[in-house]
Amino acid sequence: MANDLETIKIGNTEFSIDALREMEMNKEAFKSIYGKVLNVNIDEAWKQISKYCKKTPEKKGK
Amino acid sequence: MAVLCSCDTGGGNLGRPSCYETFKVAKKLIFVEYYKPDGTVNGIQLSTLTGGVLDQTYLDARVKDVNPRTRWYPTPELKNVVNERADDITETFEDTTSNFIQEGARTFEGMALKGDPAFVGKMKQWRCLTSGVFVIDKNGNLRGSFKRAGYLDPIKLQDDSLSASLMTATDTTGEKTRIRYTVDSLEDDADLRMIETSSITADIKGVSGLVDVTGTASNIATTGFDVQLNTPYGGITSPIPAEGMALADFEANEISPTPGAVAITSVTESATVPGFYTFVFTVAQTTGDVIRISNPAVGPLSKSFDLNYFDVTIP
Repeated sequence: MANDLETIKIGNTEFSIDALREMEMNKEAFKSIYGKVLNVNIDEAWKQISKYCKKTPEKKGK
Repeated sequence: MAVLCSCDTGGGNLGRPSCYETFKVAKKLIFVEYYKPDGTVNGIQLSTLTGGVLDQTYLDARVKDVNPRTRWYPTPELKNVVNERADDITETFEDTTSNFIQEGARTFEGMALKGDPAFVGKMKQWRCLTSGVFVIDKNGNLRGSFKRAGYLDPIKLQDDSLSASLMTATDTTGEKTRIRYTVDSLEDDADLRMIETSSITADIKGVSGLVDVTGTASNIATTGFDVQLNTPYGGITSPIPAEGMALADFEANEISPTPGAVAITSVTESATVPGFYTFVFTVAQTTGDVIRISNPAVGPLSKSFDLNYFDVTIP
């Protein structure tokens, strides 16, 4: 790669690690955005992605 | 750099080494814009070849250059190449003797197999430019013109001389694209030089040019969009898609109303629809923003695709 973009590829999706670090995303939001396009298990994908994202509080169960 | 009629040194010595490489039949051409944007000739600066060797890194940097003005544009393999000068122009006298006036023009003709109207169109674009060629022979030698110290320059084509046409199939032949041009009259055969195949570690015989990619966005939202990316080849209702592109192959910039870089979090290539991609922005964009998606500004490109930029207007 010619530029310095640091990326991680999960299934058919390539993520910018720098961009993930700027995003506030929780598992629910991740599933909402990527649930229909990712071709791998969404929970497994979130495990790998979540370590890069700024965390937003998960909804507490009743 | 040929020197003719030097009265101080007499005729040229005609001895030759016993063994040296000769240039074989041309198999590919590399078209280039003859002049770079700074006005200098778009040649190979020999001092930039690592150890005097044209390696894969150098070749990739030229063929996948993000700047189309300095990029190299290799053709497919050519068949039935004819590359020859017309007869000399002479002045004939009443006693039937004649004097040499000047050499005839050198013309080149070759055919690329698997003719395609889209390819013909791409070739014709070169007629608009002041262009030159490097020639690759059957053995992988690269020929250009040595007219200035330290550089192998492209062979300059006569302006407006390039012609490309579709040779349609017959009962016994396949469709082809015919390429013809005339070499500029100021190019001298004695200036032709080559980088020998022994000094080329790149896959020069296998080199191929970039493929154009176009796209129109759909499902546009503040958070991202989808796009189908296709090449100009294939059927009008079944274009050949651009597959295998990834995040590093794109760049997003807002062009209106507030120009600036836009971060892309991810690019997903559809697992079911070839050439269909989903983009997600890092920060939600504002209604009315126009985002331009293009090749990355820093090259060389990582794939053999040249993305024609497209604009996304945020609803």
